[in-house]
Formats: sequence, structure tokens, C-alpha cells
Amino acid sequence: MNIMYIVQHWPSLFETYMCREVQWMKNRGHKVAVVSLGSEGPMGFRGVSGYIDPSALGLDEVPVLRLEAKHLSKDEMAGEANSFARRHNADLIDAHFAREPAEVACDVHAASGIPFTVRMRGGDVHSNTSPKLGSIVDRASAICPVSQFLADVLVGRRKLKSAPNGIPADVSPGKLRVLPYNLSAKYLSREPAKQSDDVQIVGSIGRLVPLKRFQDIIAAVAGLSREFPGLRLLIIGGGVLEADLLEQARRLGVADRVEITGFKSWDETMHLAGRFHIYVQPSELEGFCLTAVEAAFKGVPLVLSRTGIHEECVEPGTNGYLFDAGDVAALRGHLRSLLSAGANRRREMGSASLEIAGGRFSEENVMPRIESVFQSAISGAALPS
Amino acid sequence: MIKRVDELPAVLTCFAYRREYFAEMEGMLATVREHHPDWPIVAGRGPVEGFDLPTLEVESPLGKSYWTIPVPLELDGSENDWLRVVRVKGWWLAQVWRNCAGLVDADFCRVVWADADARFNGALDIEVEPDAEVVAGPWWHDREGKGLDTICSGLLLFQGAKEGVVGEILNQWSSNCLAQIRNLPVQNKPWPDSDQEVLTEVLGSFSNSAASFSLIKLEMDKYVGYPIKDGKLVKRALVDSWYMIDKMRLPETREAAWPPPEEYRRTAAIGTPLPGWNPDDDRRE
Repeated sequence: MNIMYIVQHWPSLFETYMCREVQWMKNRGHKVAVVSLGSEGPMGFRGVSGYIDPSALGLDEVPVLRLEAKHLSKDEMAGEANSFARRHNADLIDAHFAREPAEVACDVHAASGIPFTVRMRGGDVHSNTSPKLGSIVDRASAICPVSQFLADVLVGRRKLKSAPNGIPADVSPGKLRVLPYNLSAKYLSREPAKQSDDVQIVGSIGRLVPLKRFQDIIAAVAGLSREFPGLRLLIIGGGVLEADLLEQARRLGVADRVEITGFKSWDETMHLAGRFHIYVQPSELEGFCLTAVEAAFKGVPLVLSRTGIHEECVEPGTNGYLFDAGDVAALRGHLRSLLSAGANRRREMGSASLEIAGGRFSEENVMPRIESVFQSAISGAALPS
Repeated sequence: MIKRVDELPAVLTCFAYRREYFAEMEGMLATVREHHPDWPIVAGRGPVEGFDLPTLEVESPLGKSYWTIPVPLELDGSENDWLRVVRVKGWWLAQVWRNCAGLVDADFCRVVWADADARFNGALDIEVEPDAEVVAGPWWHDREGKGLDTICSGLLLFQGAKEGVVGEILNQWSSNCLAQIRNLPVQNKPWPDSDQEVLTEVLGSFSNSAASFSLIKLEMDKYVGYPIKDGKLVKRALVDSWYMIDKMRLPETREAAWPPPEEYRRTAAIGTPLPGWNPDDDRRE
């Protein structure tokens, strides 16, 4: 296949899975090219520096067309992307994600007939939909949200408190396929995380923004501190709420038990996550939440809110628990269960996390599904189930 | 601690827009590789056929890519062609800063621009505080006090944090250059004004702001020296400048046999006459 990816920015420090997917497709013998629209990435990461060396990933031979969205009209971007598609004899366009990249892909498809697939992340569905969402889902050969949660929101099987324009969308079931983010199995721990009856570190990872609800973990931990003197909280991340969260911990008398690291690189984050005994993600709303999968790959029990990929990460009672975002009492109750269960039981649950997450989200399992969707989109065959 | 720039990692960049500049840029890059063998090079060549908008093919250690200039150049063979193409420089440097400066450091950028017609006769010896915000370039002092002082953009050094004040200067220079490509300003200088006058204005506006950076004004004769006088090679600067402008600016000079052959430029002894020199054709002296 000759695949042309259209992305917001290439290469992006915060979307390294894209680099891995391009690398995987290239290693499978597919010809790959990338159009980088130069548009802004996620809000929370603006101003955070970082750098990816494509040559370190073997991607320096992948041709890239760099455009600058802020200076170009949609027609100009589509024209340039179409010229690039011709130059590379593209069989398929894959748009990451369902905003500008999918809009450009849709326009290139209209001009060239090249089929296109669309990957959908959280914001594309639950908060900031494309004004062209209707045309995109109508003309795309495959619509691929990153989680079942998003797929359900997209088609109206699941309701949000406040749905953005275009949601629910009229998507033919035959073209809707969930393609999750993934991690290489090399990151899957061989053994579950070591557990201790003396010290228990509850961990969480993410940008310190209101939607992530880190204040709920601090409140839950504060409510358990007397029962469990070895309980600690480690939050890996930085953001606008850092000072507020530290103040909350101080006010609740657990400042000495709470550590917030500030922004860390992915490598540093994975290293620090190795200290976790329990992983909590209390987010109000997620499209996926890769950090929950990364934690599961470390082999720890999970306590996750019902959003994004979380319900696909947890089999309640087997490797963790689910709760409704904002329900601090439920979160505290689940943490109490895990802390009371003892180190051996937590280790068993961590082992279950490895099995569940490794089976569902390893690159080795997900990439062939992506490849099959692409092949079907090109041939016009029914998408693989 | 102050260091010479040749002791520091830096990205060297240039682009050649129009075929006449390709060999010219190769000649320049050969001299850079000779004196700065460790510096990664980001070089663009354009236009690439098949695109509606002007697009450059970019080679760098990051691989091959294509960068689309986000405004039409509308080249029509007139002098305006040159006026538009030179203004691409501001946009180009902002792109290199954003996309390639990490080749030497993830967060702190150091980018050197050299015109395609520059030839390095030695390693750059500009002295800088390695972690300071710096813009350096040859400076033309207006001895008559008409307010025409300007940086000369044949050789430029930009150094600073990726999101620092020098990054902001580059973004502003880029925006102003793109705006002027769309709508060329009235020429009001004794010379054809170009990207360097735009940069001079931007530097002036930032000098008056709270953001702090150092502007290093380099000697013109040393860093963009013109080696010819009276039809002979009379000197060599640290960086020679061979004034492709004399060939490319006006439509009637584009077929001129200028600059002289590479071998002459690199190896001729001081005093050697220009090959085929005709004093009646010499516009520069």
C-alpha cells in the first residue's frame, strides 16, 4: 500500500504512537508519506518543549510535506496535499484526526477519488467537532475512534451532559471500527509490580487541568490516611492546577504524602511510573487515556473513572475497579478495598492487568487490525470485524 | 563563559529558490563542510514541480521533506521576483528554528544562515555567551546619519531558547516578510530593500520591548566581504560574498557570466584578474 498520513504536526513529541505506526507500516513494506499541517496540538502542551529525532526511529526516509495551516486556506492545503498524494501515488489517506486533517483528507478525496480513513480522538467527538463532520463520516471509507466509549458517543449510544455540534452523527455501522492507541509489547512488564504492606504508592499521570479531576484523588487519599499510614500519592504531570492541588493537600493535612512532579518526558514518566502500586485515573472525560494503558503495562491494579478507554482496561474485581467521575466516596471505597486486600492480592490483580492490557492494547495485536482496515478501505471490501 | 561559535553546535541553513542558485549553494555548503564538519545542514531547493504553491525540497539529517511557502510568489520575470524570493528568508529561518533546531539541542537553538553566494575561508569566530539570546550579523553603519543603518543578512546567527525572544523575533520577521511578499512595499532606500531591512525593523521593535537579547554587529568586510576590486581579486574575508544579486535582481542581467568560476573563487591568488573581465560591464565598482 502507498499510505499518506495527514496529521496536525509531524513529528509530535506528544503523539509518538503516530511515529510508531508509520514505522510499523514502513517495516511491513508499505510506502508511507506524511502531510504535516502545522496546526496546533493539544492545548495543554503548548509551550512545553520537546524534540523527536525521526532518524532515531528509522523515519528519516519518510517524505514529509510541511504546510502552515495558519497561513493557508483549506483549499490551498487540500491542493498541496493532493499534489503530494499524486507524487507518492497514494492508495489511501489516513487522517489523524477528525478536525483539520480529516477536512483536508475529505477535500483531497473529493478532488482525487483517493479513499480515506479517519482516526478520531476525544476532542473530535466529545468537545470540539469539525463543522464538516457530516461530510467526513459520509465520505470516509472507515471511521475509527480510539475507544468504544468514543464510538458510542459518536453514534448516540452514550449521552454526554452536553453534546457538541454534530453529535450524534449518522455513521453507517459498516464503516465504524474502533482502533485503539497501543504500546509495543516490549513495554509490557514481565511481572506485576512489586507490592508492599508497608508503603503503598497510589499513582496518576496527566496534565493538571480541571477535566482530569486530580483533586478527587487527593481528597480520597486524605480520607484514608489514618487507616493506612504507608499510603502515598504520586502525580506525574504539570499544569495550571499544580499550586491549587498542593494547597489542597496541605489543607487536608496530607502535604507530606503527596508529590507532584511537574511535566516529565515520556521516558522519565515511564521510569517514575515504576514506583506505582495502584493506578488511579479520575478524569471527567477522556477519549482514550493512554496513561491508564501505560500503567496497566506496568502490572498494577487500576481504579478508573467510566470514560475513554477505561472500561476496556478494567474487569471489575479482577484487575481493578470502575467508578463514576466525581464520586469521591466510590473512589475512596475502591482504594480502601485494594489497600485492605494486601500485597499478594494486589499483585494478583496487577498480573491480571498485564494480561488484559497486553492482549487488547499491544502494538503487535492492534497494528495488524489497522493494516486490515486500510486494505479494506482501498479495495472497497467490507471492513474486518 | 564566552565561546566562539565554531566551538558550539549549530545548524547551518540556506535555501536556493530558482535553479541558478543550486550550484551556487552547493559551492557555499562545500566551504561550510570544510570549516564546520560537525554542523548539521538544512538546505532547501525549489521550486518543486507539481505543487500549486511554491514548495522547496528540504534535505537535512531529519530526512527529506517538502516545505510549502504559504504565499504565492507569482514570479513573472520582473525585478519583483527577486524582491519576493529574498523575503522568503524570514519565513525559512522561522521554519528551521521550529522544525530543525533540535538537531543540536532539544530546547536551545543555534542557527546560522549563509547566503548561497557566501564562501567560507575559515571557521566562524563570532563570540557569544552560549546560553544567551543572541542575533548576530554584519552591520552597515550609515555614516551620513540618515537612519539607514541595517543588518546585512548574507550571514546571520540566531541563538536562544526555542520559545525565547529570538524565536519571537524570527516569528515576527517571518510574518512581516510573508506580508510583504503578498504586497511588496514601495522601495524607499538607495538600494533595493529586502528581507534584511525587514529584519532590521523587527530588531528595532524588539530592542524597545522588555524582552532582552543581544544584537552583535559584525564587521561587514570580514563576514560578507566582497573580494573584487578593479577586476582583480584583492582580498579574502573570513566569509566572501559573491553578490548573486548582480545577476539575479534585474531581468537584463540574468544571463550575465557572474559569479566567476568556483575554482577562481576558491584558489585564485590575490591580484588575479577576473576571467573575462570587461571594465565596461562592471556595475559594482
